[in-house]
Amino acid sequence: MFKTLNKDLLAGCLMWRVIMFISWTDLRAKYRRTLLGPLWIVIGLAAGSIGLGLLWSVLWDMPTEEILPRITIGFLVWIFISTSIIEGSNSILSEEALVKNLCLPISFYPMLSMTKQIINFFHSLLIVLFLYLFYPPENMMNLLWFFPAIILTLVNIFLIIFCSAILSARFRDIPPFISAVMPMLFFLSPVLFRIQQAESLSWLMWLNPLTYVITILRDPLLGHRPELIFFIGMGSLAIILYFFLAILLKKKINNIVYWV
Amino acid sequence: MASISIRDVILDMPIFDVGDRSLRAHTLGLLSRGKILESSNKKLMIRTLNQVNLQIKDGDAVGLIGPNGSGKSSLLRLISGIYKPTMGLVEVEGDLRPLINLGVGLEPNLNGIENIRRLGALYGHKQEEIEKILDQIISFSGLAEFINLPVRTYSSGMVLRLMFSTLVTGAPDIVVLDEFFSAGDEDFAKKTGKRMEELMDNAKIMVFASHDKSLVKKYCNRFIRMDNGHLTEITEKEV
Repeated sequence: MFKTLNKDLLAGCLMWRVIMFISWTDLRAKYRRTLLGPLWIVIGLAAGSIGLGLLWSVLWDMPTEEILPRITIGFLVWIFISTSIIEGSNSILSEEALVKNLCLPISFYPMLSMTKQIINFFHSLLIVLFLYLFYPPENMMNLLWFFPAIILTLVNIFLIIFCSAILSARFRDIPPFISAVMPMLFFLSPVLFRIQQAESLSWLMWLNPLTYVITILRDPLLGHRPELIFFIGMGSLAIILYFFLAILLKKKINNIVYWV
Repeated sequence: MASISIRDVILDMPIFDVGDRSLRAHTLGLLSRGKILESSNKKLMIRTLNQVNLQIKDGDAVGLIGPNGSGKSSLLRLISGIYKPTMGLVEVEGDLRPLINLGVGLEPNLNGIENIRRLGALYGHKQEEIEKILDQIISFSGLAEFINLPVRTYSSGMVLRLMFSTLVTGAPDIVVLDEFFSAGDEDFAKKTGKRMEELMDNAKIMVFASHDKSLVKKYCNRFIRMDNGHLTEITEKEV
């Protein structure tokens, strides 16, 4: 059952140099003729997240040192996750010409989309370093939790976009559906407020898988230790997605080229 | 040693219309066990290749001719590994590079040199290898100072020069080409012809589909007529 998926993933991974090169040149092409290049991503995110953090601290009457790092980091993580999923679900459709004219592994396309978002995310982490100058993390040792958390997050997001990219090629309702549902998931995520503040609606936030992804990445960056339950939840999600993807690819890998 | 072996291949291609791509139509069809929107869930299958057998070995320059929709491009995509056969077996040995559509893999906002690096990477070259043959590719393309301009400013003939030069430099074992010569000018057509002859002198394989019978006769030493998914080997006189 896993042979098709593993073979495709291995072939995709062996193309890592090509993926890095194409992603980088795509980003360079996007920001060609701009003065600051990809730094515009950092500036845009910094303006949005810090502005929102300052506004929220006034509206909720909470100390800036408590709310500003939480909202800024939460917002950065949210942008990374939501953009990865929205762009990733279109990754096969948007590379239609390559799919129809070159024999590349299917995993190449979600990997390409994901790599661009990872480059953007690591750019935006500059904002976090800037934030630490004024609001250092509570416990520096807990920053180490960021590494297992980011690996688990990347695995989960990759599997989600791989599945959704294949399904989106077949069913064209899926990309607009994902774009439509993202704003709702944003308000059901603990980005702008804590889960406890949602009171009677907090159970809805626990049902949102993105709550776990945001928490597991944000907590270490704030210097908090994430709870083990989040790691278990995301590990379980990755296993379920892997099984689903293995079945999907085994049955449909040869049809994908006809769908685009 | 490069070779292509196609045995008893049938290729059925599903055609999807708007209704087929709709999640709503599919879900309703499933929930109602096909009673609702049944027609939109029926797939139209077209047999693009039917009982195809073909053996190609080193030194073969195979020309495919036939009317539109006869299966030429499908056969090229099958050989290139893009389409998998519904039935039968396709075995390809050697480094294969397809050029089926112009502009594939190019980023219009990057210049010619940057796009050569991109294409080279997609054709499986390592960056160090590309740097070694970069001058050779630029020289062969004849794009001179235009190589530093963004590809979006190129004419289709210039795009062809860039892509073909990158494709054939570095001695691939198998080159698969769809109809494209009409985009190039006379000077580049001469260069292309010479490069193809060199390629064939080194006992490589070329598969070339075209409507232009004179080009097929000029560059090929085996000739195949495609008609409604069927393949017939013919002589040069019959082309």
